[in-house]
Amino acid sequence: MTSTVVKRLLAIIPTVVVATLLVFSLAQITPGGAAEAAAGPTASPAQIAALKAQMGLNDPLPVQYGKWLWSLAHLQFGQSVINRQDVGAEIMQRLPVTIELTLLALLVALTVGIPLGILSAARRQTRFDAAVRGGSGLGLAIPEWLLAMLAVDVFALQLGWLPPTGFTPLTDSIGANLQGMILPALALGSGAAAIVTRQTRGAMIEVLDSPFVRTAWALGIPRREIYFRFALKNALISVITVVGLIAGALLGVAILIERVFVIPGMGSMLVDGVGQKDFPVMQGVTVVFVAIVILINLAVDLSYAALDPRIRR
Amino acid sequence: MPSARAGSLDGSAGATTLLEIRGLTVTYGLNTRHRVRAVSDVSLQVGVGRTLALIGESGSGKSSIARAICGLAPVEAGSIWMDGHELTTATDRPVAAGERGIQIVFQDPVSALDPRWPTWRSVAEPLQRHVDSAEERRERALVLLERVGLDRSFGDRHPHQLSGGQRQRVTIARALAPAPRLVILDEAVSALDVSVRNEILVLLDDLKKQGGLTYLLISHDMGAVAQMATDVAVMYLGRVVEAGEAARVIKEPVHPYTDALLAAVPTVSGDVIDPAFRPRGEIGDTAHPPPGCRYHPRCPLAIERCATEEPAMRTVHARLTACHRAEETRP
Amino acid sequence: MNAAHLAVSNLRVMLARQGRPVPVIDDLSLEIGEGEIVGMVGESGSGKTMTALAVLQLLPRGAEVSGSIRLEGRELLDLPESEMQQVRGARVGMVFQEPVAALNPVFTIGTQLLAAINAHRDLSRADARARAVELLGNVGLPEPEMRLRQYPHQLSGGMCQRAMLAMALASGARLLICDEPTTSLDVTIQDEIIRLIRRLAVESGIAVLFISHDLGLVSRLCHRVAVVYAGQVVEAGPTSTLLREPRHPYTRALLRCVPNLHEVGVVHRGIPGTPPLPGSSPPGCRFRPRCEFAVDACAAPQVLEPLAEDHLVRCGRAGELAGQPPIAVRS
Repeated sequence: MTSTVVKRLLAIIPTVVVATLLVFSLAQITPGGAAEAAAGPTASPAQIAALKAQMGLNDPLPVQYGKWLWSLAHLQFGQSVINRQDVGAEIMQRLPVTIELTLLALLVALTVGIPLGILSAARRQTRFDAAVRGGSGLGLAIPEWLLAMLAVDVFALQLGWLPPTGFTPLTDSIGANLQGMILPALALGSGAAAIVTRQTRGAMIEVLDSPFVRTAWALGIPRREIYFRFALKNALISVITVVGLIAGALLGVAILIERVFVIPGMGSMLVDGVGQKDFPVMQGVTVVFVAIVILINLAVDLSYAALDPRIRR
Repeated sequence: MPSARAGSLDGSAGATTLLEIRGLTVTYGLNTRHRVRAVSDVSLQVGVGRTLALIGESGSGKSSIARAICGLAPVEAGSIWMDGHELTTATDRPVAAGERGIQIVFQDPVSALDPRWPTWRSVAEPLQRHVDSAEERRERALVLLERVGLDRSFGDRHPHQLSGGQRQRVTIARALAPAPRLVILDEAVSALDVSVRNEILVLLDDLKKQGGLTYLLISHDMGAVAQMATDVAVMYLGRVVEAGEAARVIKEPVHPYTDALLAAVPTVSGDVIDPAFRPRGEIGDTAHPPPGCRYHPRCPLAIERCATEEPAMRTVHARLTACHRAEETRP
Repeated sequence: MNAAHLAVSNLRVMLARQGRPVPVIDDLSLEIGEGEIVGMVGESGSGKTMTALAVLQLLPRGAEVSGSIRLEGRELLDLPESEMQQVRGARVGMVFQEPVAALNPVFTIGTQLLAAINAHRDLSRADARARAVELLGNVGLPEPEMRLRQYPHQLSGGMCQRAMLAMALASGARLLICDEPTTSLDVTIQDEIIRLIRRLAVESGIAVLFISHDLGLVSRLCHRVAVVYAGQVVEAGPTSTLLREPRHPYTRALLRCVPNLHEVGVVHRGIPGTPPLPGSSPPGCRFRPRCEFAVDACAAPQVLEPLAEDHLVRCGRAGELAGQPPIAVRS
């Protein structure tokens, strides 16, 4: 198992290199330079040129890249050119919020999707199955942000059950925090739940038709044990693949959801940074997002080996 | 170690050798960490008009030999000669094998035929290089279908419309299209129902006699081998353990493995394996063969010598065998 | 007459094929007494696997079943699923073809065996584990404790089949159904598994239904044989009787196809044509299109009738066709 982990870790190095290169070149290819943005609309060309030199933008590209990578390695993300705040510090403040939202949404997706998928597969071709398939279709079709706004309108503004916007940090009050996160997590997780349901259903149907499940029936193993233990583990492999793919997408949609519910996460930081051409912020947030997605996929990869003994070498 | 020449012991004096394999070693994953030597230093001969059967169980290497002849398996050492021409050094081995008159029929007719093509087209495929006119190719294909016992109307049908036996006849027709001299039958009837299997064997037998063909029959099915083979080579874990005329090897085997293999075949005549010859344990691993005689861990007759010294191929009771105790197995 | 351990009467199973229901089993009757080993022989489309699945009530969804299946006097077709779950494993055990595929690849042998043990009994962890080790030892697996921790892909086909036998018998079933358990195994391993099945049956007095396409194999293991064609039993009786005096033309033709190692170089005919697809036979004898003795009278439906005590044949001409058996049988 250790050798599997080591091999996988070594394999992501090329991905990380390419990802950082792409993020780095963001600053180079975006129209309007970083210096122009930092100087502001009223700056003179001389001031811009001076700023350029000061920001190290006149160095050869490989040097710039190297310097940037070096500071990244020390977890120095630079300062916002707009408000001079330390990007790294702000990320550290906002990142946990986004992660909490994404994790809660994933939790919703899994706790709803997997059982529904199993039951749907067990009751294939019944009305229950049709209802689940229809419901998941809706979940896929309706954009999360629309669902979010609808949810706010109904549950918060009209029924008053839950707060419409706002965010309470975990450290202040767990209860209030979770109350504020319920609607966002449900909205964000709706599409993912639909995908997980369908994937689980499909994988379970296939597994339930396999010879080894027939053996389990023939041995008189109780039906619940067959579904939730012996069949499920085999189906989970393809479900986990999909979860890895979804997790990256969820991070992207989280940005919109954060806007709707006014949650101070990384998403709004990124959107503002892009709007203001605040390159250190853009690059910093993007690098962190990319790192998270890479780690998630690494986790997915390693879980294959944990689930399927034939993959371990 | 002297090589086994099954053909030269066939008793038919003056039979010319059509296919010769000398010291063949087939190794998969040669340049990787997972090298598997499927065939080790095997030498065989197939005489013109004969049927040599290679028999053995999993890991024996018999299929690898078939593939090596067709250029589909990597040859680490040794050579393969067809009609005096060396195949192993050719730049494009599969094409070379085909041009020297070798054709192969595989086990699974389903995957061997393109499902989108009508059968005439599959049968005519080997003719594309030499026959330009599509009409002529189709006509030749229909004639071949008749030769294998299918009505010409089968030419326009697709594989999914045919039964397993019919599909296998189509693959046989395709193999005959380029007028081969040697046809390799790689478990060609193993996937068929037993009643259909024998019909295909009858067909193969007729085709051989009419067409002057030579067969290399790869099979684990002793029933098919007993009916079709003129010569037999028994393989275990990549080596030949016994080789000679079919009647001799099958009726009076000398190597303990041959004896066990034959006795395990479910016949109705009530013969039971003599417990003295019953093999022990599992078939070995080709990737890690045991030292000395490869069969010794399972052999009820094994002595100390068998675990350390690999037996040489020698002539015992008018056939070749590799066993230290060969003389003792048969009075 | 003792009450049969398993009594199948007039079993009919309809499955949907291409939209319409077809009978894959049609009027099949079979009896197995206490401690008897009964073989069921047939080719594709004969319905033999479906019979096994019918006894266990594991037929594909949408199957319509009629007739009667009585196990130890109890009618199985009336049982609700919850009671049927108690029957499976505890009163009937089953082993399947392709043993490696029939075991769950992501769980250890131990986990699966323990699940089988715990399905019908409440044992402490230590007791269950001890029983698991005992069961694996009983089926001839060397180093049973180690096997518990291994996964199916780490074991050979023969070892997986032994493990499956252990699981099938873990809960004390008195009837064991084997569906082509050795078809994918090497012939020397097949022989060992067959002997294991016989030993287990004889030692514990278990009844066995052994399903196979191989008449030779069945004749080695079984006391009685039922030959199945197109969903019906066409001949049934003690093994020795069927081998000495086969009366149904299909049985006789099948015997021709069994390996005969005493006649080398003689190709035996199979049966022309192919087994019919379920539901595609016209009324009358289903073997008629392939039968060498067919006459006009065969267009009428044939009935399974006793030719002698304990020898049933479904052929109107059975009496007339008594003649030499096709193979010299030595017992």
